[in-house]
Parts: sequence; structure tokens; C-alpha cells
Amino acid sequence: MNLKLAVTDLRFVIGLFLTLIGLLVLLSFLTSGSDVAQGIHVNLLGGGMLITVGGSLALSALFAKAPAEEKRS
Amino acid sequence: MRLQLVDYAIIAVYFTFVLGIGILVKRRTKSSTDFLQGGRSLPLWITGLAFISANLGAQEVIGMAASGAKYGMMTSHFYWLGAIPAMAFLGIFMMPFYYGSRARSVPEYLVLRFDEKTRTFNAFSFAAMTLFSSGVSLYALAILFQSLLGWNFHISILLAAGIVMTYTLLGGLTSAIYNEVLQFFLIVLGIIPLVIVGLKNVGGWDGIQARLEPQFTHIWQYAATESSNPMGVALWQMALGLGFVLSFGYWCTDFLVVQRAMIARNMSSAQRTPLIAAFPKMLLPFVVILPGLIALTLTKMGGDYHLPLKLDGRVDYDLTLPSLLAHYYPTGMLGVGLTALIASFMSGMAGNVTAFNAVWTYDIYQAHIKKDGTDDHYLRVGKITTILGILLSIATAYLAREFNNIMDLLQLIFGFVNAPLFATFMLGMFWKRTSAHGAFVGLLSGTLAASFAHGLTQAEGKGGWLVTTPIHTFVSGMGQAFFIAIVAWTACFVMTIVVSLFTKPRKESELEGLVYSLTKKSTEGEAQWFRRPGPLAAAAILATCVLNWIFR
Repeated sequence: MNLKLAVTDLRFVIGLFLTLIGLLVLLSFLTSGSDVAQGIHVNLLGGGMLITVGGSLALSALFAKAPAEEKRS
Repeated sequence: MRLQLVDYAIIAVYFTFVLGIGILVKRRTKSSTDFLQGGRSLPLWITGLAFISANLGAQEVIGMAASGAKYGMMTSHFYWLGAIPAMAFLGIFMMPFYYGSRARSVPEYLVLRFDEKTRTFNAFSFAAMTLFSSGVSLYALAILFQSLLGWNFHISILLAAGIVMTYTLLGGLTSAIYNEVLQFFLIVLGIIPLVIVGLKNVGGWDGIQARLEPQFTHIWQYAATESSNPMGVALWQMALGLGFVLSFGYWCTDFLVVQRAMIARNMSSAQRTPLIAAFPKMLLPFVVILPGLIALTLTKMGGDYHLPLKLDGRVDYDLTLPSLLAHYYPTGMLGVGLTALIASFMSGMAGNVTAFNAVWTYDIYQAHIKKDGTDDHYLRVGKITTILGILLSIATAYLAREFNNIMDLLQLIFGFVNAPLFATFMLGMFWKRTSAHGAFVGLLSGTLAASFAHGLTQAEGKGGWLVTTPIHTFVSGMGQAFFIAIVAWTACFVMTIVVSLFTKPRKESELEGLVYSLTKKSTEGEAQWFRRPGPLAAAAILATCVLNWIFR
């Protein structure tokens, strides 16, 4: 795990952003009872998706190896 | 639509992150190449996502949902016919010339292949197009917030323009591209829950098919004539106008999208950028068009949702997506949905401004005003151009407010500029006899022919300004636009050939790396199939054929 390297990785930045807003959406789910549409808890679904994708992106950057330098052909 | 604290918090987090990305990238932006070309070192997944995001601005997101409600599933022709084949062509045949020639922009390829006058003509028309497009994005954003949230028009414009200017000034093209990637995830994840809930509401795809006329759920079965489909476009107009001229003209020659592939790390990544992008691109209709069909079905069901109406009682299709967000999304996801729309507006604007920067600095300023400046000088020019581009975009936004038909004008300009340009590139890259004079006369003729075609025909009350009685009246504006594109392309193609045959071509030795027959073909080597452009393009085309067949 390399946090110093990860913070410069776009995957980490986007992952962190999606996770943060996912958490805010989940917070809405927990604090407000009226998020059901068509029998689906929309905030739970949306927040869950944001956290899953965001978390995966951030973790993939955290555990990435140092990038191999590719040379321009 | 009323936002709560958490919705505003989500919008605030988004603004913080886009500015944060600018600050993060600033440390790496030291030269004019970094600022204007992203250092030409971005990884494939970023250039690939940026490639589709450059065409996923709010005009597309809101426009495609609107078209989905107005024309039905046929709108997916803009993806499965009007995008994927052209993207495959760009990756396989055209990127080797763009990237191999080391051109920094599409107009710069024109000066390498032809001459200065052809480059300058294209540079000025493209620069004008990007400024108009950026201003219209800004105007549309302000109008949306004014009508949905009651925000002040002027404050919306200044806030969005200020944020775009800050992050573009900080990190240049890289910053704009990083925000495009962020916007891609935001749009997809912000709209998918809406599609899931909406589909459940209407009874899935079967429910949509059961309630709508079959013309709205099939893309080929009713495409034969203008009167047999809701789009009002005949098969030949669709195939030639959209499937060939406009799609290849846009995806293969518009610097805004091609730039995303030109800044890849190496030739292989540059070629694979549009091919990798083709896979998510072919699935986007399910995110951006399906909501329109859901809205239409809900309206037919007669429940508590109806497509929004204008003051005169006609349906306001442009509000289809925002109205669905308001209908289904509670506080929380509503903030995410709106942030996705804000992101698409701002990123569309930033994309246009960064393309304008590069073309102005390289193809106008460096070519005509100061040829031998230092790198620092061009970096400064790039930054000043950013500020100028934003200010001109604000002016265009106010112009759009005064003259409401400026959006129609913009669409028309796209047809006038991109359609003939594709003929110029096709001949330039694949026919070594094409001369510089031929290319220039061809481009001018194509643009003039487009004007005449518009002036002689009419659709939905537009056009026909050259005659008292139009020679043909099209069922829809879209049919007319496709026809104009075909005329412009044909005129450019024919005139380029005719003038080239009577003028002197360049020496073959000067055309190596610029013309197909005079360029060494690179071998794809031993890389796995998914790393090679050929098999990737074949897989993308095959998958698109399957989608066309499923929804035929």
C-alpha cells in the first residue's frame, strides 16, 4: 500500500470523490425515511453503487505497483 | 425542484474536487506541451474515457434523453451507426497519420499534408465553432438552473465560468481531461439508478414495447422512408448522412475528440484510445436514451408523471431527464443527478476551451503572429488564451440568450465545417495526388454547397432563404441536416479531385508518413489480441452489429 503514490493517481482521486458522495447519499438514506420509489430504496441503491465503484477505484490505486515508465514510440 | 442541505453538500464536494484536481495537476504543468497537450503522456484508460466524455456534455446527455422521448430507440443510431464504425476507422486508419506525423493538432496535420491556407481556414472555423459550443453549454447550464432551481442566470454563468477557468488555468488540458473522466463516472452512476427504478415502474423493456408504437422500439424495421418513422429520416439519408458523412466527419476530424487520442503515450495507445472507448460508448444508449423512452411510456400510462410542457402547451423534451430526476430521486440522489448535469456542462465547456487554446496557440498565433517564441512564451499565450476563451464563451452565452436560434445555427455550422473536412482528410490521407490547391478549393466548395443546400430546402420552417418556394421540404430538420452534410461532402470530394488533377501535387518524398500508400505499415507484433488495434476494432464492430440486430 502506497498512500503517497496513490494521491497522485487519478483512480484514487475519483474513487475518493465517488466514495464521499456515496457516503453522503447513504447518510440521506439513514436520516430520511422517504427514499422508496417503486419498492426500491433509491438512496441505498445509488449510494451503494457509488461506494462500490469509488472504493474499488481508490483501493486499486492504493495497492498499485509503481507505474512502469512507457516510452513514446 | 427543491434541494436540501445534503444535495448542496454533494455539489460543494464536486466543486472542491474539480478545483483540487487543478491544484494537483498544476505541479506537473511546467511547459506549453504540458499545458496544451497534457504532456502527451496520459495512460490509455484516461484517454479512452476522455474520448467518450468529450462527447458526453450536457447537450448530449439532455439532448439524447429528449430525443429518446421524441424519436424512440432510433436515437441509438447516433451511437451504433453514427459513432462506433467511425471510431474504429479513426483508430485503425487515421491515428497512425495524426500521431505518426507528430502534428499537435488536426489543423497542423493539414499544413504538413497540404499548405498554410488550408490549415488557417480550418483553424479559424474550428476556433469559432468551439467558442460557440462552449458559450451554448454555459447558456444551457444557466437556463437549466434558472428554470429548475430558481438560481440567478448571471450568477450561474459566472460561477460555472469561474470554476472552469480556474481549473483549466491551473492544469491545462490534463486538468480538463481528468475532470472529463470524473464526469463520466458521475453521469453513469448518477443515471443508472434512475433507469433501474424507471424500468421497474414501466414493466421493463416488455412494458415499454407493449405501450409504445413499434416505431419507437425498433431501429431498422421502420427506417425505409421519411414518413414511416418518428425521426422523419429516410434510410438513405440515415446511412449516408449520419452513418458516413457526419459520423466520420465528427469522430475522425473534430479536434476536440481526436485531441484525446493524440495525447496518448505512444502510437499503440493512440490507436487503441477510440477503440477502447467504443465499448462503453455502445452501451451509453441504455443510460442516456432509455430514460426518454421510460418518460414517454410513463406519460402513456397516465399516472402521476407526464412529460413536461412548455408555456404554449407543446412538450418540452429538453426537460425530460431533469423531470425524471425530480420524479424519482429523493434528497441525496437528487444532488448526485444534478451534480452529474453540472459536471457535464462544465466539462463540455472546458473541453471546448482547451481545444480552442491549442488551435489558437499553435495554428494561429505561432503560425502567423510569433513563429520563434520560447516555450515559456507559448505557455503564457496558452494561459491568456484560456482567459480570453472563457470571456468569449460568456459573451456567446449572452448572445445565445438574446438570439434563441443560435443553437440551430451551431448545429448548422457543424454540418458546414465537419462534413466537407472529412472528404479533404479522406483524399489527403488515401490519394497521394491530392494537391494543396485542390484541398482548399474543395473545402470552400463544400462549405458553399452546404449553404446553398440550406438556402434551397426547408424543414420545420427553417432554411429556404434563397428562394421563395423551397425545392424540397423535409419531414424533419434532422433529415435536412443529413442531406446538407451529404451535399457538402460530395461537393468537397468532387472539387478536390477535379482541382487536384489540374494542379501540381507535392513530391512523394515529402508525403511519407502523411499518405497511406507512402507510409510503412507497422506490424502489430506479438501483443495479446486485446492490445492490438485490429482485433479490438473487429470486436467493437461485431458487438455493434449484435446490438443493431437485437433492436432491429
